[in-house]
Amino acid sequence: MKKKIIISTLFICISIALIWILYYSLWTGKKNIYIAVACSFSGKYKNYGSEVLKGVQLYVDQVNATGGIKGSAIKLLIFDDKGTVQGAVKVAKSIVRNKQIRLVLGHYFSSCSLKAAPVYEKNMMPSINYSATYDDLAKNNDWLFRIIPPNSYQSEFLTAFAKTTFNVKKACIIYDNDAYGSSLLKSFIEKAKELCIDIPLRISIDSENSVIDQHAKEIVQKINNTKEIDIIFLATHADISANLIVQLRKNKCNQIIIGADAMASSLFIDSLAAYQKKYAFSDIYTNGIYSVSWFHHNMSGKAYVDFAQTYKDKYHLKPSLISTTAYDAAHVAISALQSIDMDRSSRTVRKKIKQSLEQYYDQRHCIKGLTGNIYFDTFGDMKKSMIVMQLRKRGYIPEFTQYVSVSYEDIAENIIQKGIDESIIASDDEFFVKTNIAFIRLANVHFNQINFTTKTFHARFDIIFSVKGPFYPNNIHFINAKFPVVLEKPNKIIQHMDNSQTFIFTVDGIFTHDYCSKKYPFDTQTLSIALIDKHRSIDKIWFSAVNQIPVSFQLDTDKWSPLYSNSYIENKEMITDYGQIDIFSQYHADFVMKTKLTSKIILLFLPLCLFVLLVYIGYFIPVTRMNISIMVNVLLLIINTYFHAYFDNALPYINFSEYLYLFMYWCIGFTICFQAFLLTFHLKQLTRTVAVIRIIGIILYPIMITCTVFISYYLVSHI
Amino acid sequence: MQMRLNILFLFFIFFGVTACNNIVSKEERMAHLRSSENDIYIGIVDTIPNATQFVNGVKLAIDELNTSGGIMGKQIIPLIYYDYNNKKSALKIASKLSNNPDVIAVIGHFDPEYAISASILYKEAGIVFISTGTDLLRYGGDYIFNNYMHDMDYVDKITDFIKEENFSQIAILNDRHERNKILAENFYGQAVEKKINITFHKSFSPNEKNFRDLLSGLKLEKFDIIFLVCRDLAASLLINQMREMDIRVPIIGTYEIDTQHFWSQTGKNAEGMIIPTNFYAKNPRKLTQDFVKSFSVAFGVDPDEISARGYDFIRLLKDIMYQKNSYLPLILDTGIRFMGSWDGVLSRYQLTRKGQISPSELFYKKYDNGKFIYLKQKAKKKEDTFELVEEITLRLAVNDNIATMDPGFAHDTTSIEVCKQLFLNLTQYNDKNCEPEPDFALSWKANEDQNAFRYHLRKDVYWTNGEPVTAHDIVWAIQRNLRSKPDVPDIRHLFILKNARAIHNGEIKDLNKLGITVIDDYTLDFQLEYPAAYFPAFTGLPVYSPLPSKAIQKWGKEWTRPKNIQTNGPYRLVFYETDASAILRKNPTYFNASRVSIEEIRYNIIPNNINVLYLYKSNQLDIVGGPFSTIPLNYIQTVKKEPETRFNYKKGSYLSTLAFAFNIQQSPVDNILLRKAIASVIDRHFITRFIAFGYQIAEKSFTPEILMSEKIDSAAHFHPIHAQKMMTEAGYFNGHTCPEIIIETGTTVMHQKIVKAVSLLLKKHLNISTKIIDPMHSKTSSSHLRIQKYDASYPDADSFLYDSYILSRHYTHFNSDQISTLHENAIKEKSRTLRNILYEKIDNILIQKECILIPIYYDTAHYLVQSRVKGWNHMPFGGQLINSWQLEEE
Repeated sequence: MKKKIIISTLFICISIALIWILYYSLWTGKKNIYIAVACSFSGKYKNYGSEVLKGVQLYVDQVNATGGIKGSAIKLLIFDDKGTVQGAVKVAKSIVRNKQIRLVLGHYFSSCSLKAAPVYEKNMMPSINYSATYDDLAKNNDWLFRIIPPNSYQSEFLTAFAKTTFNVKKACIIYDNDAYGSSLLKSFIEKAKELCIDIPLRISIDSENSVIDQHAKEIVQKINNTKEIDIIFLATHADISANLIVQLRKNKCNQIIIGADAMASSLFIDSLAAYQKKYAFSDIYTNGIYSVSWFHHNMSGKAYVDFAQTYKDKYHLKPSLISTTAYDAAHVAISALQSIDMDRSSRTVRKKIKQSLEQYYDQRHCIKGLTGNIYFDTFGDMKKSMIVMQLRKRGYIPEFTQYVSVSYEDIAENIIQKGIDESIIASDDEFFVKTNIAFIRLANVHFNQINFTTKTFHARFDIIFSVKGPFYPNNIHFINAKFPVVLEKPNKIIQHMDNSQTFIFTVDGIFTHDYCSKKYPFDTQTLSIALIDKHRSIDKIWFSAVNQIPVSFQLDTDKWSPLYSNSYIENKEMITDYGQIDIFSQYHADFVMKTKLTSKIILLFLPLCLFVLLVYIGYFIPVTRMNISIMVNVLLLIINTYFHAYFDNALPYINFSEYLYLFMYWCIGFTICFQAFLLTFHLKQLTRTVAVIRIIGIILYPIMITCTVFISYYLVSHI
Repeated sequence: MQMRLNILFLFFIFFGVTACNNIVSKEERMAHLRSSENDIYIGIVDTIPNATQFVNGVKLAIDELNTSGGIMGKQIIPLIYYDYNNKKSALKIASKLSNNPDVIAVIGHFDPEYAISASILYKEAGIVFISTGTDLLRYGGDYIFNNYMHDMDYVDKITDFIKEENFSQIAILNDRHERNKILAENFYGQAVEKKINITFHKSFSPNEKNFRDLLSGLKLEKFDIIFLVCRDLAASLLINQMREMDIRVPIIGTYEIDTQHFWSQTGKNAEGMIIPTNFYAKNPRKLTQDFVKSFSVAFGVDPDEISARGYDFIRLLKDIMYQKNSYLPLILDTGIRFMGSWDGVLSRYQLTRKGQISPSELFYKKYDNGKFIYLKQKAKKKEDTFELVEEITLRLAVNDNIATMDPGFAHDTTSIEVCKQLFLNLTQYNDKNCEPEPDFALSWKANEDQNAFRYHLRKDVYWTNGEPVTAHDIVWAIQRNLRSKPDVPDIRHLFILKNARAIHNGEIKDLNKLGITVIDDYTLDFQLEYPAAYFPAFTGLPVYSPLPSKAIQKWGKEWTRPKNIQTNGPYRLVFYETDASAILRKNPTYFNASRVSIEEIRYNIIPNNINVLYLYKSNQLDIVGGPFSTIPLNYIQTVKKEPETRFNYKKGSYLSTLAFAFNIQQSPVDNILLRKAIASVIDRHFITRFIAFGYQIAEKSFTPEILMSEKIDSAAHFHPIHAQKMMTEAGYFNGHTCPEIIIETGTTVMHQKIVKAVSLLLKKHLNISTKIIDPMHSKTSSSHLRIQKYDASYPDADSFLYDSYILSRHYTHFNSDQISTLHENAIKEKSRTLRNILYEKIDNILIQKECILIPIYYDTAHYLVQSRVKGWNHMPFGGQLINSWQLEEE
C-alpha cells in the first residue's frame, strides 16, 4: 500500500514536471524568424548559390548559438531562382506570399534582381542584395538595399584612379552589349568626359551570340591602328575578359587594362589560367592589369581572420569574395532585425526593418562588416572607397596607390589645392584622398623567453616593408613593445622596376602579450606583434598584410609548439599630434602556439591518475580493514597537497590543472568520510546497510570520475 | 404615477443601502479631507475591462496631472473598478467608494439604471459623481453631474444634419425602452417643426428578435433615410434583416448603437450607417490633436469617444481644482455649476447649474468601406483665434520680414511670394518652363508688329469687400506705380509702355497719353514703345497687378494692414506681426476658391537658418529652403544624407547663372584663342564637386536650361590639351610668355574660392600666372576676368540674355552687330520656340564663338518639403502656386 502511494506520487510528480516542460517549450517558446535566401541553387550557376548560402548560414548559426534575436531562432528559407529571370519572378511571388518571411537576401544576378525587385517593392518586402551591380537597381526601389557599389560607381572610381595615377589621355573601351557592359560604358564615358579622357575607340561585343576568338584579331587590329591609346577598359564579363586579355597581350597590346568587379572575381582568375594554357602563352601577361573590388583580404581586419578560420573549420575551404559579402548581408539583415520589435503584424515589421536599414547612412552610422563599413545612400546603394588591385601571378594584390574615403570636414581646409593636385578625388558627393599602401610581411620569426609572470616575450624577426613613395621607418611604433623598438637602418633596400622599394629591418625586442592560462595545460596562446605609423593617418599610409602564405615561426622553448599565424589590418581612431581624431592603420601579426606535452605535464597528471586508482581500490577493501584504507587516503591527501604546492604556478587565478587538484582533494575527502561512515555502521553491526552502501560507493565513484573527465573535456574545448 | 413609484423605489434602495452600509457622510468627509495628509482618490467605474479605452483616457489625464505636480502637493490616485453589468456589484463598488474618506469624485457607472442607484449613495457621501445617464438629473441634487448632450439638443442637431444632407423622407424605428421612446418622440417633433417629411414611424419591443413583419410594412413606404433608436443588440439584428430584405437606404443611429458588439455583429451590412458622435479624432483643434497624439503614444492605440470623455472629466476637475485651489468635493461641485462653459478635447462644453456638462458639438461618422469617415468636418473650423491647427495649415519659414504687401512695391522674393498669394497678377508663370499663363487675364493677343497687346480679363474676380475687379483697377495701379514717390523698385519694367517713361519723368502730364486703353471693364489694350513679343511675361510681374484704388485712397500707406487690406487672390491676410509671423487664410471670394485646398498659410519669420532647420526636423515647419530661408551650404551634404531629411530633399533652378566675363579691351585676352584656351581649362566639374556643392553645372549654355526650349550645347568643355594647342596658336608657348592675368574676385566666400580655383587651374594646365584683385566697380577696370552672377528680372530669355549682354558691356566692351540683329528679330517673333532659337544663337555667340562669358553653374534652390505637402513645385521666379497644393493627412 505504502509502496503504491510512493509510486503514484512519483508518477504524478514526473507527469507534472513533463507537462510543465512541454508547456514552456510549446506555448511560451518564441517563434522562429524567417529570412529568405534567393539565389541560383541549381543548374549552371549552382555554385554561386552554395557560396552565398555558406556565408549566410555561418552568420545565422553564430547568432543562433548566442540566443538568436531576443530568444527567437533565425531560420533560412531557400528559394532557387535557377539564375533565370522567370525563376526569379516565380520565387519572388512565392516569397511575398509567405507572411512569415521578414526579408530577402538576393538575388545573385542583376537580371534576376531587376525582375524580382518590383514584386518585393509592391508587397513591401525589404531585400538586401549582395552581388547585383546593375546601376538603377536600387534607384527606383525604396525597398531594396545593396551592400556593394553599383557598376557606375565602380567604373567612375576606376576611371578617376586611372586618370590621376597613370595620367591617361586616350582610352579604348571594349564592352559587352548587355546591361552590365552598357551601364559601365555609360558611366565610363561620362566620367572620361569630365576628366578629359578621349575615347577614340569603342568596341562592342555580343557575348551571347558570337565567338570571341574570331573577334579578337579584329579588336587587336583596331587598337593597334589607333594611336596613343594609354588604357583599355574592359566592360565585359569574367570569362570574356580573361580571353581578351590573353589575346591582347599575345599580340603585343601592352596598354594598361582595367576592368570592374567581373575582373576581380575568382572565375576570372581561373579562366585566365585556362586561356593561358589554351593559347600556350606563358609570357608575363599580367603586368598592368587592374581591377576594383569592395574587399581584399590583405586589407581586412581581425573579424575577417576569425570568419575565415570558422569558415575553414566548417567547410574546409577558403571563403570566397561572394561568401564573405553574403555573410555581411546576413549581418546587416540581422542587425536590422535586432533593433526592432517583432511582435507586430508582418507589414509593420517589414516597414520597421526598412526604416531600421535607412538608419545606416554614413561612416558613423553604419554596420562594421567584414568588407568594411556598410551604410546606404538615399537610393539604398552603398558607396564607399573601393580597393584598386593589380594582377599578380597568384591573384590580385592591392595597388600601391589607393583612395580612401574622407569626410568633407577633414579636408575642407585646403580642398581646392589638393583637388587640383589630384590628391583628392570626388565622386557622387563623396571625397577620397590619395594614400599610399605599405605592404608588410614578417619573416624569420623567432620567439623565446616567453614569460607568463611578467607577460612578456622576446622576439627576433625580419620585417619587410614594400612601399612606393615616401616611407619613414622612424615613425613605425610597435604598439606592444615593452621597450621602444626603433627601426633605424634597414638591413637591405631593394629598388624595383616600378619605382617601389623594399626595406628589410631586423627587429629584436621584448614584447608584451595577453596571457590567459585558464585552460593550462590544454591552452593555446597568441603572441602578437602590432605596429602603427604614429604620425601618419590612413590618408597618408595604409598598411596591407601580405598574407598569401602564412608566416612560419620558431619557438625556442620546449614548452610550446607553433600552431599557425595570421596577419591583418585594423583601422583605429586615435588622437593625432594636432589633437584631432583621425583614423590610423594598424598592422597585426598573430602567432598562435600550443602547450607541448612535456615531462612536467606528465608529472602533473600521472600522480593524479595513480591517486584516483588508489582511492578506488580503497572501496574494495573489506570493512574490517577499512582503517588501513583511511590511513592510506590521508597519506594520499598529504601527497596531493605536496604536488599541488610543487606545481603551483603562482598565478592570481585558478587554472584548469588546479581545478584537478581541488577535485582530487574532494575525491579523497569524500572517500575518507564514506569509509568513516561505513566503519560506524559496521560497528553498529548494520551489516545489510553496510553492504548496500559499499555497492553504491563502488558504482558512484567511477561515475563521478567519468563525469568529471567529460565536463573537463567540455570546458577545455569551449571556454 | 411612474415618477412616484420611482421615488418610492429609490427611497427603498436608499434605506436598504444605508442600512447595511456604513458610509462616510459628507460632513465627515469634508472634515477628513481638510485635515488629512493622504493622497486623494478618484473612483473610476467601468463596465468590462478593455472593452473601451475609457480607463486609459482617465489614466492619461491623471498621469498628466500628477506629473505637473498634483494638486496642493497631493497626488491623485485612481481607484479602478468594473461592475460587469451587474447591479449588485455596481452597488457594492459604490458603497466601497463611499466608505473611503479620501475619495473626492467618482466617474463612470455607464448603465443609467445603476448610475441612479449609485448616485444616491455618492450624494449622501458628498462625493462628486459624473456619469452619462440622461435620467440622472431627473431627481436633481448636489454632487451629481450628467455628461450627455441634452436630448433636445441632440435631436435638433440630427434633424439639422438630415436637412443639410438633403434627405426629405424619414422612417423612424425605435424600441419601447422608456428613454428611446422619448428620444424618438422628440425627434419626431423636431422633424415636423423643420418640415421634414416622416413617412413611417413604428416602435418595437426591446427584446424583439424578428423584425420581418415590421420591415415588410416598412418596405411599402417611401423614405430615403431611417432614424433608428434602439440598443445595439436589436440594432444589429434589425439591420441584418433589413439588408436581407434588400432595404438599402442609409441609417442614422444614436450613440447607443456605437459599440464594438454592434460593428462586429453587423459587419458589412453596416455599410453607409451614420452615427452622431461627440468625438472627432481629426477635429482641427489643438486640444484634441494633442490628446490624440499623447494617447496614441501612451497606449499605442487611437483614442475612442469614451476615452476622450474620461480624459475631459479629469481635466475639468483639474481646472476647477486649480482655479479654486481646493480639492474639496463641495467646492468642486459649485465650481462646475458656475463655470458656464469650458474647452475639452471633445469640443467646447456647456455647463449648467443643474449639473449638465454637455459637449456642444456633434459630428457624424459614416461607416464606409470598412472604416469610418467623418462628414462635414471642415465646416467646424473656428476663425476667431490664431490657434495653430497643423492639419490645415501650411507652415513656411522666411528669413526676413515681409518688406511690403503692396504688389507695386514688391521686389524681394518674400514680398513677391506673399503678394502672389494675396493678389492676382495679369499673367502667371508656368513652373516648368516659365511660360506666361492666364491668371487675371484669360487671354491676350498681339498685333502684327508685336507692339500692341489686347488682354481679355476674367469677369468673376472680386475684391474681398465684394466689389468686382476690372480693367480700371489695372490702369489705376499702373498709373499710381508710375507716379509713386519714392519710385517703385521695378519701375523700369513699366517703361515698355508707350509714354510711360515720359510720364514718370514728368515730361508728359496727361495720363491719357499712357499706352493703356480700357476698351470695356474686362478688356484692356496696351501700346508699347517698341516691339516685344515677350510682353506677356512682363505682365506677370506684380508691378502690373490690379490694386484696390478705394482702399489705397482711404488708408494711404496703411492700406496693407490686415484690417484695411483688400485683396483678390486665393488667400487673404488675417494677421501680420513683424519679426513674428504672417497668417493668410483661404479667400472665399477668390474665383477658384473651391479648388484651393490648403486652408491657411503661416509664414514664420525666423532669421537664423540653423533654427529653421531645427524646427523643420522637429516637424514644426512644412517647407524650408529656397530663396525664403536658405539652407546653409555646409548643411546641404548632411541634409542629403540623414535619413530624416534625405527623402524630403528637393531642388529647383533659379533664373541665375554664375559666370566669368572677359574684358576684351585688355591684352592678352583680346585674343580670342587665348580666351578660348582659358575657358577650356576652367573645370566646371571640379568647381561643382569641390566648392559649389549641389549647384547645377552650366555645362551647355549660359542661359538656364529652363528658359531654353531646345537642348543646346554651346559652352566650351574642359580640355587642357586643346587649350594648350590654342594657346600656342595664340602665340604664347607654354604660358611662359603670357602676361599675368588679373582676375577680379567676388564678394562672397564661395565666389572667392572659385576664383582661387580658377587661378590654380590656369597655372596647372596653361602655366599662366594670375593675380587676384578685389572687385572694382569703376567702369575702367584693369582686370582681364571678372566673376559675376547674372539674374533674370523677368522669366524670359530676353531678360536673361540680352540684359546680361547689355549690362555687362561696360566691362566686357563687347559689341556685336550680329547680336543686335538677332535681338531685333527675336523681339518681333511671335513663336516662343522660334524666338528661343534666336536667343540660343546669341548664347552661342557670347559663349562659344566670341567666348566673352564662361558660365560656371546655374544657381540652385535647395528645399526640404515634408511628405504631407502634395503637388509642391518650385517657382524659379518667386511667388509659389500654393493654391494648387494639398496637405495630405498622414
